[in-house]
Amino acid sequence: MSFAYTPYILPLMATAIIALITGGYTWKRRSASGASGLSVMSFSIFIWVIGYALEMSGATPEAKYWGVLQYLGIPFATYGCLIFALDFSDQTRFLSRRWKALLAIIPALTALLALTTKYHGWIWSEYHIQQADGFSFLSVTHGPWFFVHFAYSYLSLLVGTILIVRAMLRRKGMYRGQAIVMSVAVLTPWVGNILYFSGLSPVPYLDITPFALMITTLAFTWAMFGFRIIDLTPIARDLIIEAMQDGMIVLDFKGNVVDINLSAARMIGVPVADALGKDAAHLFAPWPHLIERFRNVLEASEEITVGAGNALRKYQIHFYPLIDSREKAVGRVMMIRAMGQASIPQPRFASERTIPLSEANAFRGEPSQSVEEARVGRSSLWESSKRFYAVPINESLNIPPNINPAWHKTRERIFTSITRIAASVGTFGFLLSLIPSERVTAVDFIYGLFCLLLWILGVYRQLKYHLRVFGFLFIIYCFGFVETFNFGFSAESFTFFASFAIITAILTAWREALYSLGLATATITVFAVAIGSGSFLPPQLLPNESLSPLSVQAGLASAVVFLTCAGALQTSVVMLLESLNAAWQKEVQALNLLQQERDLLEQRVEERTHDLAQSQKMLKENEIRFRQIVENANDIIYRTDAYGRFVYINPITLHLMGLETESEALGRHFTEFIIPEWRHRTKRFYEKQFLSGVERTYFEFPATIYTGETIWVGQNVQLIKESGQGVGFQAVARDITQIKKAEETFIFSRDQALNANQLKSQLLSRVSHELRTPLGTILGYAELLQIKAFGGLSEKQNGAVNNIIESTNYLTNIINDLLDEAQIEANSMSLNEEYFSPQEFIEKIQSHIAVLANKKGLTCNASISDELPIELYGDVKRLQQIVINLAGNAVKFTRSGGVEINLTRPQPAFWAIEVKDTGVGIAEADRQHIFEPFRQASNSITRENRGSGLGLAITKQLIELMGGTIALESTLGQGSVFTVLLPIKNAPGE
Amino acid sequence: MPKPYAIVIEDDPKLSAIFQATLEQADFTTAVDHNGDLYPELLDHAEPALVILDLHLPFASGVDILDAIRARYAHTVVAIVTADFIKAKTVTGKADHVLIKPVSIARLLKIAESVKV
Repeated sequence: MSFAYTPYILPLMATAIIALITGGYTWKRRSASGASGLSVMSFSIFIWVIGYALEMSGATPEAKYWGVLQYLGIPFATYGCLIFALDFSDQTRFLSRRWKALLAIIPALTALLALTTKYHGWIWSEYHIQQADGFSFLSVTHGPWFFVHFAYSYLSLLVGTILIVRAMLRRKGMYRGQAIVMSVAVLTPWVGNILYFSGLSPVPYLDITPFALMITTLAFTWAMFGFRIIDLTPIARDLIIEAMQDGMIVLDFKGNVVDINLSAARMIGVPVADALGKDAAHLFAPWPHLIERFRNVLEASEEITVGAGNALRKYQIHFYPLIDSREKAVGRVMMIRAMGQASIPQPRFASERTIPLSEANAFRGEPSQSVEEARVGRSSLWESSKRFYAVPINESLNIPPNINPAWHKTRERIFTSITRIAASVGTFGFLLSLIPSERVTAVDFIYGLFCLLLWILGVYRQLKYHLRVFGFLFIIYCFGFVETFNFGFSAESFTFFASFAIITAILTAWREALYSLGLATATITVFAVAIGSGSFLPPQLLPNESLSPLSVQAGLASAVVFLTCAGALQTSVVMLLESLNAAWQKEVQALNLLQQERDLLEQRVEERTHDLAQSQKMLKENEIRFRQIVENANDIIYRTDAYGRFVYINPITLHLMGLETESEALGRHFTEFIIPEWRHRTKRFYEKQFLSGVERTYFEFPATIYTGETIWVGQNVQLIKESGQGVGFQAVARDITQIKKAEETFIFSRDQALNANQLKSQLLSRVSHELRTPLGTILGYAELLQIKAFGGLSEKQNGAVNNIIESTNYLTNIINDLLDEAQIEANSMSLNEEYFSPQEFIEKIQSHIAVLANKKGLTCNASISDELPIELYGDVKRLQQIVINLAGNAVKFTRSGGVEINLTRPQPAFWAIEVKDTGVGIAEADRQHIFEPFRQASNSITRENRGSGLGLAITKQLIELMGGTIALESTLGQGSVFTVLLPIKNAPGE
Repeated sequence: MPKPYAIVIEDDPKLSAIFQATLEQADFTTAVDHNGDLYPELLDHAEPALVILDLHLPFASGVDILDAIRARYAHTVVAIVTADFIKAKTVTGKADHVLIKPVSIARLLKIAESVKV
């Protein structure tokens, strides 16, 4: 059993590696929709390709027989494709375990029969080696089962394709890019197959189906994972879950840890990396009671205690079930929250999931081995070589714009790794080739140079990325060129040129890829024309080899086929990468948006917080202000509940009650401080207010204060209502003792004053009685004498009698005036108002005054205006008194001329009495005093016109009592005019 | 024609003498009650044409006497003679004349003359 190298191994190996990586990637995400199918597909392709590679490189039929391994892969690849399609198109009915098993029967049988075909020939009944252009392959005659397998595979592929296409048409939410990738994925195997069977394949006899299926798998994977905004989830997860103070552990149904955050890892004291994938029972081994308690518990919420003494910690543990879209429980989430003071320090946003030593093991309550410790000490040759070949990501890489930095870093890293491996392998081969040969050929020298270049490209990472890539691409191009130059068209030359084009696409951008494809195609075309036309003969070409183009047409056809295939492959790669980049850009945009939103939110929160703080501050200030008002008030301010028990009491009240603190007063009844005799009454008053719901009341009561004194309290009480229901009282009261005293004094003095007034009146009437009675006797006897009741009198006697009568009348007048004045001053004068005739009134007065006037030889005229009503309303006696007083004065102070009395109506609502004389007049200086009591004009006091000095004062006061006014006009030596203006009251018929 | 009958009810002896003299001057038959205790008898004696009545009397109130006269005789003219102007107001309208002391004899004669006619 021997194997021979064939250049076809290279793409097959590359495919195998891609298949393995894809398989691993999807397997990790097998919980996601469609991932398990893709995973099966990838691993199957891996086996298939390995089998194919063995068949290819096998030098003997025995070795090539290993190609049968392909039949372990092929049926499962199509099976995986079908499962993926069912998942993608939501045919959940067929995704049950039973259906999956049923669908897997034929692939399983195929695999079984393939392994044993040697004995029964159901797959391969006969096989032999056949040589083809540049490689040998196995020519087989297929057994009967092969056709079952064949039918099954194509049917699966067909059903899968239909399902996917249908689902794509139905699905609206797909991106254009995603749709394109899906379409490429679906069409690729069919195109590959058609190329293979139609013989149009660039390399005839080479089955390109596994390559095509690999592209399919890649495209599916990409479509499933690359285009999902859901891929933001890991980022969000890192942001939120890792920053959480609470511990979070996700367990699958087997009890394995699927995810664990930093806090949880810290609590358990196990590094995140070590915890992932471990059995939870193993992690929680130090706390067997917890394992016992929470084993198979789907949902729970409990408080637990671990450790003892200082290390005692309390945790709140929650279990939540994880339910998938099919309502099936797929696992559990465990949340751990530290309680009390033992809170976990806020973790930083950590990109690497390592735990600081000091913070570890909070949950354990004891220090444990460091995470880093476990890693140190393994730095061996193996480690350093691993680091050399599986290089770490170059963080200082200069990243061109508009490209996903992660992708760029990754491809640089892979490029570096591959270059280093290639350089190592190349050097190894170079050295091997040097040993047997005696001299170094030019070819060896160039080979060595290439190796050196590879070393430089691989090791000097600080070199410009594009420079390194171009160097690498140059080498590939050179290989292709040399191969074609030496051997004409061959699988190797095509592979080199195709690799050249595709690697350019992967390592650079689409523009460079296009150039490289152009360069490769141009080179092939030139060779095609040169060799085909016979103008150039590849030096190493063996005469019997048919691969080199025999004619220009054949060469050009090959060039076109190359262009098509390499172009298609390159397009796929470019598309894939562009889509990836587009998705990344979307992700960046989304993240930016997210960041902006977060910033905005934070800003808003900050603003709100600020506002809140501001308003709280204001509220507090207000409260302080109001509190100060209440606390510093001199008034008694307190609140009680509905029963009258204190719930708040201000300091002054406390002080008055003789209490120190508010707590002493709280709960006590407010009536306790009221003097006992008033308690019941006060209580009843407020009970009434409470029951009637009257909002504000005022009440006065005496209360005892700390000195033992009794003070009077005037209390304003407001009923406190909550939703219409009285819940208490708010009272503002003050010490009104002084007011009360003043009130009492006032009442006392008022009573006294009233008494005095009464006494005065009594005195007045007594005095008046006592004076008048003897006056009556004097006047009576004098008049009796005058009328000769006691016999005739002599002239002298008669004169004496007349004097007695005159003096008595004078005395009587003074007494009357005094009484009037006293009455007016005591406000006890009342008017006796009635209707009277102004005509009669004036006639009566005129007849009276005329007597006086005639005695002095004066005239007395009276007139009445037509405008005056027939009847007036007023106290006619007092009016007569007024006019007689004025007219009497006029007569008194007039020596010649006369007196005139006129009744007029100067205004519609007023009537007037005008008393004119032609007397001495009143000096200006006297006019203002003339109406004051006991004042008389200085020029008026003569023997014959003396008086009490009260007449005008009484007159003015009487007029004012009637609501009127009196005015005086006077010219010294010419006379005076007194005008009394009175309102016309109750005018009848007018 | 018999002389008209007048009663003077006045506690001050001097004043009552003056009133009596004045009435006699006007040709009246007079009777005097000095204390306010004799007047029922005097009223029983005959219907008086005129009664001169003081309001303040030792044994009776002038107002009561006025009411008694008004209850018994419809035509008797009553002239109140008082120094108490406040109390005088209470009888204004009830009595025919209210005279405040000192009373003018001329006025009294006028009233007496008017009663006679």
